[in-house]
Amino acid sequence: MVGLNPPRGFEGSIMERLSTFQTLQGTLPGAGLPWLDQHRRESLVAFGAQGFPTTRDEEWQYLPASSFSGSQFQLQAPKIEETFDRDLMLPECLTLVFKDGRRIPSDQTPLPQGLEILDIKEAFVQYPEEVQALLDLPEPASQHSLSLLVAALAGEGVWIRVTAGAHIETPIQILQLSSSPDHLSALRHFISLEKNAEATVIETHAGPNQTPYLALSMTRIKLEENASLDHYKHQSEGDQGRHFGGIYVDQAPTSRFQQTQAAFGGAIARTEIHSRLDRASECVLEGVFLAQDRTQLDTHTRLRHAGPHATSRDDYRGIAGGRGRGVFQGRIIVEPGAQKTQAEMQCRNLLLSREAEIDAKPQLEIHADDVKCAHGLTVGQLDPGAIFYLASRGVDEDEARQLLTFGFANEIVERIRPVALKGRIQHELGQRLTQSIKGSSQE
Amino acid sequence: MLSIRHLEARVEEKPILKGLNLEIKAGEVHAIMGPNGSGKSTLSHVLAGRPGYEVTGGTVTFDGHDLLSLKPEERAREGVFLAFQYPVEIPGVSNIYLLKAALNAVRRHRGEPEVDAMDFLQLVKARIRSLNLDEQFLYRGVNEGFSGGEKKRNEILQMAILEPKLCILDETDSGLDIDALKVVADGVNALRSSDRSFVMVTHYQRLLDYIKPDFVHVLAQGQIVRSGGPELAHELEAKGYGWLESAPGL
Repeated sequence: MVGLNPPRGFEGSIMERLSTFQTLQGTLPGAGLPWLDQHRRESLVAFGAQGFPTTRDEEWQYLPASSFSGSQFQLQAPKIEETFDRDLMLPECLTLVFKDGRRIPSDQTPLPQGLEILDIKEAFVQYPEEVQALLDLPEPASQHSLSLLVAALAGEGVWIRVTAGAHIETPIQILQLSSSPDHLSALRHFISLEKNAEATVIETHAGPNQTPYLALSMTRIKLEENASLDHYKHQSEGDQGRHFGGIYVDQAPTSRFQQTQAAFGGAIARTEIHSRLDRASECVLEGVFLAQDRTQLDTHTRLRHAGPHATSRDDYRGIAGGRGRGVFQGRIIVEPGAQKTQAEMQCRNLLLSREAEIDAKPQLEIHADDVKCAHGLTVGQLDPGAIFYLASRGVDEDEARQLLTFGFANEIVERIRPVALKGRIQHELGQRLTQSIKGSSQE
Repeated sequence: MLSIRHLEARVEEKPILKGLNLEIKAGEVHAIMGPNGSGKSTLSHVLAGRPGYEVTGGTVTFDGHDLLSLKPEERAREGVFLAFQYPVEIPGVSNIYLLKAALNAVRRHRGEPEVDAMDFLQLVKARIRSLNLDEQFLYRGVNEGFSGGEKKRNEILQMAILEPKLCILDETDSGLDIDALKVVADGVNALRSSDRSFVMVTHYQRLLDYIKPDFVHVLAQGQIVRSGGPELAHELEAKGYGWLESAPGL
């Protein structure tokens, strides 16, 4: 087998264990299905051959994938207790729980008409053709070591399908928990919305502090004509957790994809959202990140306008305090035939301390001539005029800073539609800012 | 209540206030008028403690305290309130959240417990009705996308909730049409009491038709050059500010 030796520079890293991973593949759910075996094997070989990207790779220049490497991570967890903090389940949602990469039974609510949910291991058997159609990622840039590693190692995840015309009111929550030290989990989800279908999916990622782990997940989304998906991601990993979550979307004509991210946790975490937009489709990506202490948070969006009359909007707010580091890279590609494209990208950032760092980079590749594309990126500090305004109302400086920083992020958060999720994120944002701002004034 | 003696202040190295004297007793309403650039807004900002306004001489005593030694938030908690000419927009922070944070800051300073959520809501709702504002107003971002009139009414709403001892209104009439001006003036008049004083800084006499001052002062080139009763405002309206150029003593 090619590429099973670690590339230079990665001795002592996860790459050393390629042969172990190969053995492991034989034990994954779905092993024995020839097409799946082949896909996993090829992914592992490609992973070995590519190695982790370095900062020389433009897509990884601020946050090399090698930061995710580490030899100690184990795919086979010790026996997993089926208990978890049930408060993490959002009220009035249909919640699917994963702990250390395994599905944990939660309360079974009858599914509404038009909604089908399976474990992917069931979908491998029941819908092999549909699954195979979703194995490939829309962009060559989506194929990198981390997504390949998920493809090679993921045996669990959910398969969600909403049938044509069905409007699913109840949000579906995918709760992904890590608990065991040094554990590597890889989950893979497939979401398809048929014509005119509508649904809301919420991903919640969480884990304990002071526990190193690597949580990888990949969500593959297919929206047929005129389908509409609201997708949310709440990333609240533990302070030593490493997180990668890729969201890869295919949008058929007139479909609508709305994604909002709130990223707070982890030692290092990357969220990647790639979408391919066909004619007159709409894609709205919004998010906030708050990188405190030594947290490194990376958000990476890539929108390919492949058909005419599509609109896209990126709107992100980044905050970095302590020695935190934030990265936003947003790329918009307008293909030659994609006339009348409207694309707007905005990323506003706030630095709360001297050691904090934010790197924001817009990338526009426009190959059509009748388009409207705009981008704006700013990095700044709080407005002294606003601090004085609050002080003149009796609010002290620390509280004023906290309030203004909260407001800066809350402009995005308050648009979140599921009320319970919005409340959770606002609460976490408020709590984390209290710590961060108290910390910075003591420096 | 407020005693300003020989106050001198500068902004970006430029002297603006050059020995200003003013005495205000509890319950009085004073109007300070003057041409553009005379130092009216500087006086408001110096009293509220805005950074960048440097006091180079004189004293300001408020209720027995050396006002100038206090931080802006301490002045606010002691009962000084500045209604801004250009209120600041704070998107993402709801109006009601700021009102509550401000009221609690003042209450903690007075040694009172934080306000009960239900009592607070009742208080705020009563106040917004009297200012002709919609309840939805409370849940919008502070001043975010507000019209000029809404911003000024919001300043008065904050004032009504915080119940300060000294209210400084900086060009509150600017940018208001006559209907909005009446609403704002009604809001201010409702707050007049024997233990609350007002300083109204204004360029035009118009505001004083709706909020009747006890005293009118003319500020020119950083000093108060004339003081009188309400009739002085009418005189200014008739004669303009041009005569100040040739006024004796300047």
